[in-house]
Amino acid sequence: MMNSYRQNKSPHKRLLALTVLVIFLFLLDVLSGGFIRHQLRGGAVVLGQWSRYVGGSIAGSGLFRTRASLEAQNRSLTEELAQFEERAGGYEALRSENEQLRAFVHLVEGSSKDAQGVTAPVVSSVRTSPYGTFLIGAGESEGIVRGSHVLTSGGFVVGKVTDLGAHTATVAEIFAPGASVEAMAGGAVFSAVGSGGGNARAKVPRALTIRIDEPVFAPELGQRPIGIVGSIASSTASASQEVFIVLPVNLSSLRYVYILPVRN
Amino acid sequence: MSIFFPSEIKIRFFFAVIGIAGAFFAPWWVPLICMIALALRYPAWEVLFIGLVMDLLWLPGEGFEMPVFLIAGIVLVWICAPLRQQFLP
Repeated sequence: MMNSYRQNKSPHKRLLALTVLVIFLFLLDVLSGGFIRHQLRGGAVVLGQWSRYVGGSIAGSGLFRTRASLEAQNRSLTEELAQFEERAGGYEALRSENEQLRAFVHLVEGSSKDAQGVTAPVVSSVRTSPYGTFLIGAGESEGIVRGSHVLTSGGFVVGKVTDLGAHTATVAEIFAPGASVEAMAGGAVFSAVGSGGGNARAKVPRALTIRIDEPVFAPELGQRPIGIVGSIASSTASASQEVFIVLPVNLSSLRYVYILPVRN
Repeated sequence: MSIFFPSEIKIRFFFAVIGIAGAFFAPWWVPLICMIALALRYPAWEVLFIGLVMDLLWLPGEGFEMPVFLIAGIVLVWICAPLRQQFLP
């Protein structure tokens, strides 16, 4: 027997109206060149920075340590020692950040003068996006242009800038799920298909000599490295071998990236 | 109403908040699970908005890409409507 709630047709009418509304909003965003999208991404950047700050404060406060360890700490540490620890923690965070930024300085020094780029913070997790994208905290105002290459501190290309806001940019991973890129290793060019998370696979002839840990370059990205050969699977029954390409840095741990202008 | 038996509105609100927050911070499957859970149980407009937010936030924006989450939201909401009417009290 149907109750009065289900006999009421208004929820369906409301749902239909809202379905039309979200489609309209999406089309409006596409037609306006991403106005809604850029506002939302700006908000996401601010939220991300706040959550990182709050998360860091909570982790620093030791709130989620076990009761036993907290009791032991309370017994052994004086207030002064806690202050020193806090300072040491702050120093460690700064040192780590400094190391990363110093690596970018080397990268910039290694590039030609007209290839000067921008260092930008990564403001979203790479695991959040189903499309193999992530957000960086620099945009049009910082001189970034669509199509710019995005590099790690080690000089590996991780993605390309595909969309720009005033102070944010969307980066599409080179190895986004299903994305294809021309790669070169062992003196041969082949097509590598991304599987997300900085991993890709490629089928190459079995006669081709490729070593594990050999760097893989992308001719279309200015012959820059895009990863290393992680493993090779081959069978005597097959004429080809499967090469697994990995990025030597964990994408989730990236805090800064270096953006090279598109002309390079 | 105890915390062990939360009202339907609370459950719906909970999934909606997790879904929206998950679109920003959590792995992509968290909002997807929330969308499925909401669509199975309620005629939830929140499913459409979670899908819209996911696509606006994470689509590469290079040319036209299929807004998979928005389409999934619309399909879930409307495909689950007769199921809800048939099976839920």
